[in-house]
Amino acid sequence: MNSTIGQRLTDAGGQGPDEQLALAAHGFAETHPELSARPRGPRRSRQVVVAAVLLVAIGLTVLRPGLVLAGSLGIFVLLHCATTLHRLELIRRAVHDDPTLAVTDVEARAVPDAELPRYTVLVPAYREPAVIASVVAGMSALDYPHDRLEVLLLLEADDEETIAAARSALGGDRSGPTRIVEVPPGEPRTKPKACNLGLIRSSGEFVTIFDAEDRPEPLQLRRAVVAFRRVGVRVACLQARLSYHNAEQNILTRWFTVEYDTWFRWLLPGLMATGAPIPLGGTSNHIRRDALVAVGAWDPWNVTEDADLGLRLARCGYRVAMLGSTTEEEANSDAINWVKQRSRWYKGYLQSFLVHARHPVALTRQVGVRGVVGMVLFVAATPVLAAVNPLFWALTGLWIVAHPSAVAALFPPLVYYPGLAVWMLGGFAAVIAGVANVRAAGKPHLAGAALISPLYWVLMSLAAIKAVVQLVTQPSYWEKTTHGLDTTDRELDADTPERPGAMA
Amino acid sequence: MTILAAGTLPVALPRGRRIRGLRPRLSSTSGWFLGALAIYVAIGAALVLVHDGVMEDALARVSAASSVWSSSDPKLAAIGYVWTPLPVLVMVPFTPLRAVWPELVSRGYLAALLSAVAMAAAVASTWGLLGDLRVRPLPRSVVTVLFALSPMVVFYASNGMTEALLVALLLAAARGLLDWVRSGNPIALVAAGLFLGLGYLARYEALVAAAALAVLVAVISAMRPGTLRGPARRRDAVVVDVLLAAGPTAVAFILWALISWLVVGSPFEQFTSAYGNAALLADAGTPSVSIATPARQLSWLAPVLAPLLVLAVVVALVRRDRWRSLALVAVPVTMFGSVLAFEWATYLTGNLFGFLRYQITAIPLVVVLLALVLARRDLKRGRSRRVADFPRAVGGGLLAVAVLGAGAVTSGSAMLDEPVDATQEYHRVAPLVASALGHPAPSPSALGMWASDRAVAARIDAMHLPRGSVLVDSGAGFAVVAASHHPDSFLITSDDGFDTALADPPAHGIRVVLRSESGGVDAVRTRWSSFGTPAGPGWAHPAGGVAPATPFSSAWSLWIVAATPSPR
Repeated sequence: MNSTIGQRLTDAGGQGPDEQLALAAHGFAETHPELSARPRGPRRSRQVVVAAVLLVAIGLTVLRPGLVLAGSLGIFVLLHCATTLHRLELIRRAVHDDPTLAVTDVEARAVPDAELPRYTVLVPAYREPAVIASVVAGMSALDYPHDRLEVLLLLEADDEETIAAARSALGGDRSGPTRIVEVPPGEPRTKPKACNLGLIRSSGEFVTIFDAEDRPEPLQLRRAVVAFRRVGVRVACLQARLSYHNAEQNILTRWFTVEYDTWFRWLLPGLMATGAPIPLGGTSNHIRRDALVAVGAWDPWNVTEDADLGLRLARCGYRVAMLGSTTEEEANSDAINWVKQRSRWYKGYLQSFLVHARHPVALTRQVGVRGVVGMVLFVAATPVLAAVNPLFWALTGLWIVAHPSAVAALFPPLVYYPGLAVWMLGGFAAVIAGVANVRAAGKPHLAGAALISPLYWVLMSLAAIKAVVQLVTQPSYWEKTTHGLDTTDRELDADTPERPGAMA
Repeated sequence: MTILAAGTLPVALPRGRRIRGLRPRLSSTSGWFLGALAIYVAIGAALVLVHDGVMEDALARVSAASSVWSSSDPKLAAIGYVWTPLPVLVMVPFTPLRAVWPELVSRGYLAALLSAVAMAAAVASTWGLLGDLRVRPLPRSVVTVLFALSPMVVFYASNGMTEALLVALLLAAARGLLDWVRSGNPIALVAAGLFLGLGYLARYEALVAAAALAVLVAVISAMRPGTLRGPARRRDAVVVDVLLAAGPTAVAFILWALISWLVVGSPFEQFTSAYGNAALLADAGTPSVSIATPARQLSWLAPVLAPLLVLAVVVALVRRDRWRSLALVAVPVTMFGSVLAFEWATYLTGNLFGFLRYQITAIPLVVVLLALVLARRDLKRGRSRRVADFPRAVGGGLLAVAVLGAGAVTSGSAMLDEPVDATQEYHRVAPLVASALGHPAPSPSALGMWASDRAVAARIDAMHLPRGSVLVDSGAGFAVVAASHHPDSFLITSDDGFDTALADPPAHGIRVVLRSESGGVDAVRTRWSSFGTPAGPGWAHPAGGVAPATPFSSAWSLWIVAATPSPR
């Protein structure tokens, strides 16, 4: 088969369900194994390299433990410093020339229905019978002509409860623009595979994803259409803002809301302003079908397929822009499940970064040095720094309880003091940014949560350590996830909908 | 199935125009910064390198910053905890350059470079602030130039003192606050808060400004018509605004006290230490305090402050958005006025010396008030009509010349003519100006005051003594340590073992003890006043002294410690 993945996805509309499913699950990884997170099987050369690196690392640690300790701390300090400065620069750029595309209500409503393109909304859901009825209601609240809208509820074929609930809400397999698409069981059972199938079976000029519990702002699709027409074909994707409607529930949802508001109001627009690749957020990303198909759609083997897609779009020369419209979601309110969810995101970020960093020279040619720096400091550093954050807590604690000479015996002061300063100033900057953001977002009542957000970092660290440990100690972990589908039910049931990594 | 080559993309759009960052372009603000910097660096070189006129505190800070690397017990704690940490910390990375350029440390030129950078930043801030307020180009340039060249500003830009940092950080904070009052943008408030926090780490006075501004921000925030629904949300918003404005200063205050407490066991060394302000005052005896002194000093620095303030209030009252205009006037009055009030109150209660420099914030106060008077009415509209604009621009320029020119004349003549109430300035500026004009220098002059300390350092260096074997209180002997080619041969106050070595020098490898014979705090003199008297220890043999180079310099005596310790 010599055709491109884009051609295959385009042609698949007329094929049988089995071919479609196979293409949704394996098409991308088969055509572009280097761009997919699908395990590539052991390769001798890679094993040799890994073994050699490990050997050297262990040898150095045994022979010169002080040097290794100071050296690795130094690297983390530099990374922390660079990341903090990068984020401050992103905030500065986002505040000074916010590139978020704003479309007024009047402009959005001014487009005559006849000039609106066909729009596809994908709603993947798994084991969510309780909320599926509200999806149907939420989607019909969208201000978009029904004859130009298609809403695909992507449900796993063996998830009988949800399918039954959806049928009773729709009064059948379809109602108005909404219809059910059953995804047959098969590997990998993930959200991106379901979305690929939905893409193959739909026809909208623009495609977007909402999760089952999302409350998109009703004019969002119209705004996206107007914004797309304004910016030209190079912009393949518009990312709407995500926020939470249950911020007041408990301290965790407050922290989560502050974090998301900072992320979508400042950091992502800042990335956009600096021209760096943007890791897309889980839902409410509006994509041109032609671009989505051309780059191969979602990688079903990536746990944060959205972030991966954002990076791949950038590599292929497309751009992502922010859309001034907010989708309200439900924040994860349980600490244990939050850690599980967040560890999946971190794992996915690391996975996406590792996939795209396989050929650093090609990557640099494609996204530029600036883009690579942005990827390292935003996609890779986020989980890595969260994982090493306890180390910095420990260094600070050491300084307080131990005599300075004891510290000097462990770390050279040239590494230690800058490390302490960078960590404290970085943390201070993060707290201030959070407080300023709640004020800018008109949510001053969340300032208290923003002030004590260092406690939130503890949870982040737990999640990041979980993610990193799994990535290091279980190289075949991804394969196992997709195997252990039914054993993780409880965890994933409680997962919030905005980015359920592995759906099953 | 064909597997495409590694790294091949599914699709690649033709390379389009990449989004680039801001192209490096010299903005007018950087132009002002660099221009002012060049002037200050040159004048600093004349004052400090040629005429040896760096101020005492400045040289002490450079010496402390250098000791972090070069003392016999190198450690960060050598920065000291009596004075604010920022000026020393900023210099720490550069003091190792003494290896290639000794005068950077020995003459304290590094401090002069720091004050030059800070004051140049203050000039750039002034230019930016005037632009924010849409002051017309002519008066904008006149105000910036007259501020940059006013005698006090030039002197404190070139003598290494922290006044420059205080002025720069307060001006930057004022710019942020004015922006916030006009736009309500919380980021501007964040910037103001951060500058105030840094200001506290540069000079303790900024704490007063931050406290006063917290109240002002609360009032303005509460009166601002907001978009938030419900009184509870609006109350939260006021709290958050105050937090953004004063929080960083509070954090800096707590953190610095905590670090101080952890390292030296006392959170507020400034008040409790033997080297702190209180001790210095006690040592200096009780001078007569009169309200006439600060009043005269203020009248030199800002002779037309009172009429200008009235004018600013009147102009605000006749503007369309009266309350916001008054709030704008309240910003500089609160910020700089609170610092001035604090200096007056502490001086009048006998807690502060009556130095002219303590009132330097009167100058930025005048500049900002002037900017508000000169601000164009409609802050949003673009270019206004040229014809009507020209007389206004000229008028604005003349007003600026009158206000700032008067201050330049009065403060300049005070620095040349007032040996008592402008003592620190007079003893350096008057001889410097006289030398530049080819006149005989007035006596006494503080220029060249560090020569005796350098002579001591040269004598010590010539002895080729081992590490940590010269006992000196760096509070008194900082200039000696800074001038030495082997600073690690000294055992200074911040070194581990100083206290034990002070108590019993022969038992701790001390070969030479340095005792200051002038006034001031010196732990060595306090402990070993008995040297050379019949009651003194037998192991201390006089090795001569060094006479003070000027009336402002220290006299030193050197004491050789006998090789075999004998009981006292």
